[in-house]
Amino acid sequence: MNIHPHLHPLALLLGLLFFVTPITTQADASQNKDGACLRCHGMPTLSYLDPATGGLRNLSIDSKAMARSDHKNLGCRDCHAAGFEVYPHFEEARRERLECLNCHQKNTNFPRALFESIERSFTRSIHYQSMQDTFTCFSCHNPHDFRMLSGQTRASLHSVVARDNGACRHCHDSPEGIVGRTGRLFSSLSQTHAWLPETERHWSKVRCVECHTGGDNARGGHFILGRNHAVRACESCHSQNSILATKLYRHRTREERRSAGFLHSVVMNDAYVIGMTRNQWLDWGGIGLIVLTLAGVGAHGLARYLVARRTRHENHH
Amino acid sequence: MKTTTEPSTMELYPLWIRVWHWSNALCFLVLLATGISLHFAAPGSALIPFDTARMAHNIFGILMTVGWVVFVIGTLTSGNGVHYRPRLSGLVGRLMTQALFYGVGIFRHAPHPFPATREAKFNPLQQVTYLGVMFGAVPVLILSGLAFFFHDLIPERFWDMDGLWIAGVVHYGIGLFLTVFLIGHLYLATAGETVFGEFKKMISGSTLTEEKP
Repeated sequence: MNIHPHLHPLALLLGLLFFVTPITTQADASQNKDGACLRCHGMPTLSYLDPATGGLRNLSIDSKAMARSDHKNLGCRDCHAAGFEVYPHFEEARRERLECLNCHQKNTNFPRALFESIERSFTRSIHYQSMQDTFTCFSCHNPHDFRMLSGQTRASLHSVVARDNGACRHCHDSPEGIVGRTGRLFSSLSQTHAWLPETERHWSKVRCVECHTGGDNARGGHFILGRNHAVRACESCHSQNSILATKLYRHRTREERRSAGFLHSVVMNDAYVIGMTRNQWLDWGGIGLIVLTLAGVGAHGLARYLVARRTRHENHH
Repeated sequence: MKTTTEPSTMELYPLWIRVWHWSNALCFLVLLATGISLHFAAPGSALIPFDTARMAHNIFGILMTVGWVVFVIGTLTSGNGVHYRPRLSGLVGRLMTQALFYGVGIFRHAPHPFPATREAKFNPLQQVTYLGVMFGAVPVLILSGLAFFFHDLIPERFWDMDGLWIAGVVHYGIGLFLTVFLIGHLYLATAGETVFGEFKKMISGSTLTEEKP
């Protein structure tokens, strides 16, 4: 075994963990092409005390989530190259600094303009503006379980919301936790969203970014807006031209229309949103019924009036 | 054999019913206006702003629910309930008679076929309609509205649909039906002895006097 002279400080800990790894984990890992890595990193409790921050740093990988992710065809070493050739890892592994654009700007599977647009939006977002380079893609996106919204199936929409909001709440639910990154003490989410009715329900049904990227999708989902510029008008979502149709539901509706027809996508809604979830047939049927009723009583009333007038006229003569 | 008759009086619309009726009417009108504003909400529309409409709809929905409970208790305990129980025997014929009056007789100045009596202050059409509205449609409207307050109790999915979607459609459908009822109710109130007579009765009350053997 090739052992580097500058052993990583984790070597001892990882070495110990290697010997106490459950047999089943080893067996699962051996079936995976990344088995050597997952033998350790597949353990859900693998972490170490980061001397830089004083906090525990999670080093475990959920291999099942990875297998479902958009990066499922990548091996560990496709991204984690330098320093990870052997175990224990080399010291240079500690200096690893990955960036999504290293791969994605060269990836022909994606339009180049997409990531240029994302980068433009990102650099204008309140996160980048206030934290600059300390805020990266990985601050929100975990590449080991990342899935694009367009790739989500119908059943997983709620989990998409939970996952995406989890990324926001991971920091924002702990106001003290982000003081170190921003130098500011934030109010709690429940305080800043006290104006929003049914707050928890909103958070479980829609993503934070629906409101915090403005009233239209032109800015892109990475131009995160602060509280003063986020959407506050209820009608932005609660209307037929809801911004949700161009954000959270844009892929689902298209997918549903393709698989089950337009009527199905209208009737079998995934979630009821007052003002947005409207069926045009019910609306026109209702308006027609009211108009017919008004016309009926109007005609009846007019007939009564004419009869009464004729009777008065006859009595007069 | 000598028979004597003595006049018997009955308040057709006691004070509690009149208070309930007009407060219910106010609640329904506010709920209708705010309900339309919520359903057809759009940025920059001339409707009531969404957040205002939502709050008013909640408040007046609760008030109408309280009023309905008062109405049911009052109806069950005061004897008012007898007027909501149509006699099933010959009901279809009586309904046809009343419909024929509205369709034909009213234009010929025919007398009302079922004038108010102690036993039945409503005509058969009123009986059936009011029974359906007050003990059928309104409870369903209230329950489907309460579903939005207690949404945690509603199943997430039901027959491959969002549970709250079903409550929303039922609420919309019943609200639509009751709006049609309101239009008909207002119009037929003008079909009494005089155009505004029934409105006055519901404001100042009306005493029915019958000769009792």
